[in-house]
Amino acid sequence: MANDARKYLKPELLARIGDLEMRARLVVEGFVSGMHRSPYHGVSVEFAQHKEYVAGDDLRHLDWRVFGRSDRFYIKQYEEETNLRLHIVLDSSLSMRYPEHLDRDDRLTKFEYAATLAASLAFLLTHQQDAAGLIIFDDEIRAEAPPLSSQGHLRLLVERLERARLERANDPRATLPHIAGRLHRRSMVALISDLLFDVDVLIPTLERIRHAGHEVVVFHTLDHDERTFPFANNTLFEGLEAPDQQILVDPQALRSAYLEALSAHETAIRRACSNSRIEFVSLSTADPLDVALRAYLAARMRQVKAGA
Amino acid sequence: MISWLSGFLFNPWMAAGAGAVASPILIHILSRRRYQRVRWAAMDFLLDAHRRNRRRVRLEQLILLALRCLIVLLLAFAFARPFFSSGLLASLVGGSQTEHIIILDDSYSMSAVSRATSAGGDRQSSFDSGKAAVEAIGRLVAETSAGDSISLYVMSRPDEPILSAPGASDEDRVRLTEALATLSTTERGGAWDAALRSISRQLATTTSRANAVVYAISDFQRSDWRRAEGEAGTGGKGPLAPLAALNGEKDSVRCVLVNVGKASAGNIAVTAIGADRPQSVAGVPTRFQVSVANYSSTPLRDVELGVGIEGRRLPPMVIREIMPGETAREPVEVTYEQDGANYLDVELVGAASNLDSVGLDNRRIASVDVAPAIRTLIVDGEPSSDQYRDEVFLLKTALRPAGRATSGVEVTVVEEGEIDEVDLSSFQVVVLANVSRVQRAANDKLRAFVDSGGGLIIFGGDLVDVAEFNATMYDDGRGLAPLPIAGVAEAPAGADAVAIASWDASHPTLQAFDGPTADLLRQVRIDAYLRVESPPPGEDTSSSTAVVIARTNDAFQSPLIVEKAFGRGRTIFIATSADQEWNDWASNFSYLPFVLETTQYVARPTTSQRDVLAGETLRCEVDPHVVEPAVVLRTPAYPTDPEIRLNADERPPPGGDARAAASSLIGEVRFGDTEHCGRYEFLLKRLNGGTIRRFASVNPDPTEADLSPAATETLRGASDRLRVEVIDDPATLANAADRGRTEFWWPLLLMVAAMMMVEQGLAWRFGSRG
Repeated sequence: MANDARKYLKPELLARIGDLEMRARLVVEGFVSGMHRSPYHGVSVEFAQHKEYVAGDDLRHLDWRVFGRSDRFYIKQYEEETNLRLHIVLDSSLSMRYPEHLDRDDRLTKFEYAATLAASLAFLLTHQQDAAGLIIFDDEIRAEAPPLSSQGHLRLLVERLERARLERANDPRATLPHIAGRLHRRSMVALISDLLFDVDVLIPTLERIRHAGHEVVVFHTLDHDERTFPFANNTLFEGLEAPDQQILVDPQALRSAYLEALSAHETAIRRACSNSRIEFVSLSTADPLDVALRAYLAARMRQVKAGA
Repeated sequence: MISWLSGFLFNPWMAAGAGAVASPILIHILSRRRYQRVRWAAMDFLLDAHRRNRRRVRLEQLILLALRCLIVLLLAFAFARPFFSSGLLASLVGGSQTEHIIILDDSYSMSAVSRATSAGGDRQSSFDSGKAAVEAIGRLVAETSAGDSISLYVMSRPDEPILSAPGASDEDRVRLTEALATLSTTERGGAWDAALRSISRQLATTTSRANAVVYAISDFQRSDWRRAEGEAGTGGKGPLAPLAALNGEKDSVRCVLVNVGKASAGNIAVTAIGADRPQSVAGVPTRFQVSVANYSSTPLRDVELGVGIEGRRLPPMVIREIMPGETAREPVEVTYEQDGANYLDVELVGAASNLDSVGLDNRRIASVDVAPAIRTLIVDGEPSSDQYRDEVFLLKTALRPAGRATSGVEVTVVEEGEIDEVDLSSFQVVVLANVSRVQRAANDKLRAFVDSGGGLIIFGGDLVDVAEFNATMYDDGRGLAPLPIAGVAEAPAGADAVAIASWDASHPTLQAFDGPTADLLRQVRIDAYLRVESPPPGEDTSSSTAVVIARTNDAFQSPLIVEKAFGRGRTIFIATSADQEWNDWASNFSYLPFVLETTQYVARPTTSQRDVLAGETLRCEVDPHVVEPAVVLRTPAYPTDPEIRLNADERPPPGGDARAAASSLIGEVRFGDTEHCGRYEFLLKRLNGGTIRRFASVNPDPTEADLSPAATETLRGASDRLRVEVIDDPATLANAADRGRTEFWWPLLLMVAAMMMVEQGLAWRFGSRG
């Protein structure tokens, strides 16, 4: 049973599930089932009052001591305190469509992966009584939802994610500082993106958000192809965001140099993140999603400790 | 192109597969046209990588491309089955379009079989080895340079190739083998110079090819080679001079000397038969000198010689010992009972055959015309009924002593006036004794007689008309007399008589007076003599035909005996008288041998002049006044081979003047095909019935019997203008033919495999760097 739940952490299985919400649910359930402690409990929940049990109440919250004393069923009611707000910042630029054109059912595009991750986070947070908000951007902010903690809000987020259209190229220079400006209350920011843009714009923006007191997690989401460059035959590479960029190369000859360039890029970002105490998670669309979730939880624990 | 390739490829057409070398290039170009399209997000990194790697990638691609082309090329090359020639081969076989001229020595020394290694040893003759060498060369040429041509010559027939094959096809090889099968050694001696000269001439006129390699296959006898060296003509030094002359500046002729001689072969040969005297007279012993040479390295003992004359074997004679390298001269005395044609046949019998490599030279024949007698005409200048006053009685008696023993001389005496009436042609010697004057007609007759080979002896005397003698007989040196007469000299009264002071003891007439017998001649007292005007002793007399044989001891050292060659005959002038009027010679023991020897000496020689060496032309004189011009020749193979009919050519007698020539034409039959040694017999039909027989012999060249080879260094340095290669061991030639080409397609395939691995490795390394 536990294994069954966990299998949906794997992207290739997730890819077969069309519904994003279902996907997120499966991911989170799979993730949770693998944990020793439920992430939903013991987290900043303060007792408010007792209430007589009526059918349909969650039995978990029965106060057995009161029952022992009075033979009555009372439900403990807690003050619902949202102590965490998460802004999920999702990149919906054209580059996130890769490898859409390759026509492979068993693979998620970067955006699908990212959206699944976003929905899973939202799902997890909502169930933790935390608030999850969403910003989808390309060269401008395409969709925005404030961080709230309710089932209805979760549905809204999923809907926003599903409605995202990847049609524009990225323009981090324009959007990233703008997004930074939107974050007012101290909160957490999860940036999910392939980060295929200029480091010189990205890093100052991240630092600025960090300095504003926000906790930041960067999910550097790249396709497996982009991380391994597995092409063998002559290939004409065409820019996803700039179709006029074309080169015909023997990929094997370029592989090492390409990986070097990629690695340099990622290293620069990782170093900057490390300096600013930003959580940096390097993801491949082939990675199971619990990696990302676990990284998020680790970041959240730090936040809680810092808050405490 | 293809023919050039055939020099080192089995399947030249396969080399066309090298065109496939274009295939990797084509594949490369085509593969660039086939590609997958990927819409790629991380273009910046890719472009960056591309920018940084463009040059390296291109270089790597070029390297791989070159490697792949090389692989295809090697593969095509391997399929063409390449081979390379061994070192020797490369030096033998020239470039393209070479004419290969093979000269095979077929002189009789090539028949040598080494008998030193008797037990199961090499029984192949040098000539067999030579044939094998020719085949090896044919194989070499066929396998290595198909466009070349081969000509095969044998030394005895250098005017025309035995075989001239345009190429080196299998058919030509068969022809070569067939041609070789027909060849055998001749009985001739070697004649390098003539052969090379003839072949060079043909090469110069006929060859259309750029290069020529001349292979001389021989035992390279030192004697042959040295003779050829001696005859070197224009165009540099050495026996190869004719070839060197052909070589010119282009250095297009090379020479390969293949020595197939048997180094260990020894040989024994009868190298000469010489007669002591030019005369063989029936009933009188004739002495021959037989020379037997030992060309082996061991002393020969008790060499047995079989001796035969016509119709009779004589008891064999034995030579006690012949040291290595020495030639023994042994006298053989033979008495021919009958006059007419005869011969002496000498053959080594039995012994020492283990030292003898060549059989042909063990026999030698000398043909002899045995004269019935030396017919001598004595012209008596002072006849007298008193025997002791007669001028020639003592002379006549000395020439034909009474008793049983025969001197071989027949004497006819005539008086001075009767010369005109005598037919001189039936005489061999004419003696003029104290003849006062010879009439002009008689003089002409005598001149013709001497000119045709007769002998004339002139004795002095008191009756000789000095002025007339000088005018007719001396005739300013044109006459029969060797020197003019100055006058009569007499020994001064009271003083000692004049004596014979000095003489040429080696001269046949005075041969007997050497050593202790010389005193006999010194005791002769000469009271008077005809003093001839002569050059003083020691002066060069070579310009004059007069040779002084003996001189007196007078103040002038006057010549006493003088010889003059005249035509084919000779004159001996003796300044003193034949009787005892002017001297006491006749009472001296030396008189008789002197007159006999002198008569023999001047007499027309009867030993045959017809003996030749194999390959030379036999000649036999035919006097059209005596015999018919049609002559029958029986070769040694008669009666197996039929008789040969020859016709005499007329030719004027040599040295005679035109008038004499007209009256005495002498014909000659010639026979050039003297390939076989042995006894030849001419049968001349007399005009008046009956047949004259004449023997002639063809003998092997004695110099050919010395098998010792020329030193390799000598051969190598045979020409200063020609590249000369010497192959001492014919086996190396055969080996070179067998191992002529070494195929190396399999190492090529290995290389291909190795290069494919290298290619894969490089491709992997280039693709997966970092």
